[in-house]
Amino acid sequence: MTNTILATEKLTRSFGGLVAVDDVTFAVERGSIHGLIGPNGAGKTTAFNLISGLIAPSSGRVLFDGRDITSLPAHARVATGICRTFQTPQLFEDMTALETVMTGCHVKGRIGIAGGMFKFAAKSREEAAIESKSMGLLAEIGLADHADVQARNLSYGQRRSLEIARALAAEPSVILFDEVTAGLNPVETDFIANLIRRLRDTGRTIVLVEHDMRFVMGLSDRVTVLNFGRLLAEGTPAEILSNEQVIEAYLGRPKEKVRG
Amino acid sequence: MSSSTATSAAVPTGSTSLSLQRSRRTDWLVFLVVMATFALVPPLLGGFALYIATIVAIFAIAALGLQIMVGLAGQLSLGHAAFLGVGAYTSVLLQKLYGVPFLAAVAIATLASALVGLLMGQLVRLSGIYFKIATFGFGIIVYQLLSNWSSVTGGHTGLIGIPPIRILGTVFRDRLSMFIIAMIYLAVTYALLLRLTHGRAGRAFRALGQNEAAAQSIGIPAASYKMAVIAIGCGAAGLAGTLLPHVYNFLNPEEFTWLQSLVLLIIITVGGLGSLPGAIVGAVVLVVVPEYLRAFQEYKMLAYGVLLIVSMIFMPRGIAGIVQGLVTRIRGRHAPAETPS
Repeated sequence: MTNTILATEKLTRSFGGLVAVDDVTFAVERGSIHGLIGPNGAGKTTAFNLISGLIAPSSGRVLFDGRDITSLPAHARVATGICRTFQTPQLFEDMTALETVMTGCHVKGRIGIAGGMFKFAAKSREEAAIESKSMGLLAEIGLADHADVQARNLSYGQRRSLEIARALAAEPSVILFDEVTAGLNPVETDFIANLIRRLRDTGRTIVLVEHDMRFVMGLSDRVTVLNFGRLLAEGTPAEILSNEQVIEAYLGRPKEKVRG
Repeated sequence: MSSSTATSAAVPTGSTSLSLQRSRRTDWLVFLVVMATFALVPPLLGGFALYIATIVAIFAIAALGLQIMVGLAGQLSLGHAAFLGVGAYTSVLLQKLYGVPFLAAVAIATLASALVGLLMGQLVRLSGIYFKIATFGFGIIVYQLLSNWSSVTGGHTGLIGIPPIRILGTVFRDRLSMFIIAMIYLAVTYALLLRLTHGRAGRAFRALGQNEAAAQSIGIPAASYKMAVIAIGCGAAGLAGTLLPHVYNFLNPEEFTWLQSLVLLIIITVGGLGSLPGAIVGAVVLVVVPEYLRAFQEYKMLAYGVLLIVSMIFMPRGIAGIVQGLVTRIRGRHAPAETPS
């Protein structure tokens, strides 16, 4: 169990009468790619928001590296090592790509408000380090020659990549990708898949909320399936693909006779 | 796209962005141009121009703080003039009643304004439109307090017998020394806030103003940064306020009405939201023009309203945006001849 980096325990969240996430317990292994799937309305994004701290659970706990982080606000979870992206890229539209990634370095920086005004040598050292690291991340994500382009002028695929680079700038040990391939063409999807594998190979843990079954099954080491807010199944992609409950949840119960 | 080839020998490839450095250098160049203009033009014109320039500087300081708060971090304040009032009254009363030396009174008054701003931020822990409405209410409360607490503030009639500025035993009361002191205030405020925007905290403020959810998702503590930017904005207004009574030679609450708050917002909008030099240019426009159109005093607010609407339609990024557009166009035209400095 020591190899678990992220876990939920009986995580529950209801909105009025609707229980969006219901008593969900699952664990993510360190250094793995973990898929979180389920039909529309299964509670995937709510589960993500609970893990990243955007909303608070009605009951249950979120554990990171054995530590209870349920009561930590979203921004503090980033400092512990969890960073996320959004279903629709949430960018700072008036910043250039470079400034965006530099902003992503926030939790790793030390120069505060007074330091920003009154420190000279330490500030310029930190700024140079942040800039160089950010240029490196832009190169990794394929946006090096767009460093000075404002976020609002980037294409959809570039916006996604930029959001990922910004998340990586916080040097998270766990990265939560919320529908990272939504709206991308096959080439861009392949690029992201390779990037995710590279991230895993450098020791990071990836959690994917996905609709694209081919993408998530091809990438994930383990897959958790939610349905109507409850845990339906968990296992390797092969196990999940042959799980009757899962097939039923996605495709419905096979009828004895389709026509007759 | 070939911009990095010329100088990349000096730095590891891909480790710096020329245009980021160029834009920071341009910011400082603009700083020098703005401050040089301030230092040269009013003294050459002399007399009344020195007086007007002093008032421009005062409003520019307040507008710079408001620019960081509203233009960068998106925390709209509709009662900002109240903090000019807090600074002005605190400083004058400290000097008048307790004989506190000028510089100490200025420091305390600036701090007090920042603290009152924090108090407002904490009291109204609201977001979005509710915060904006609450700042409006807060501005009115401060105005009412200044008008009605007659035993201390002198009420509507105001305070006279403002002590002259005395620094290290030297008394400054002529127009030129007032002007010089205001210039020093302005240069220091502008330089510090410019340095702030060129760094981690400045990026956090901009992130907050542009997308709060995204800012939190990368670990920026939105609530603390909001409080910090409110303190900075209100502190700058308080600092500006400490000079006002010495320039006018009296102090009354009518300088701190919601109309003045509106004027401050028009200053940063006309100058260009988010631009520090824009805030200063906006202050020049909104202070100098009315002085020379005193004959049409009763149409002042009408003119402000028209100015605001016209500038939002025709120059959504303000005067600063127009200047930047022109510079980019000229640079573009001469691009092949451009050489790194």
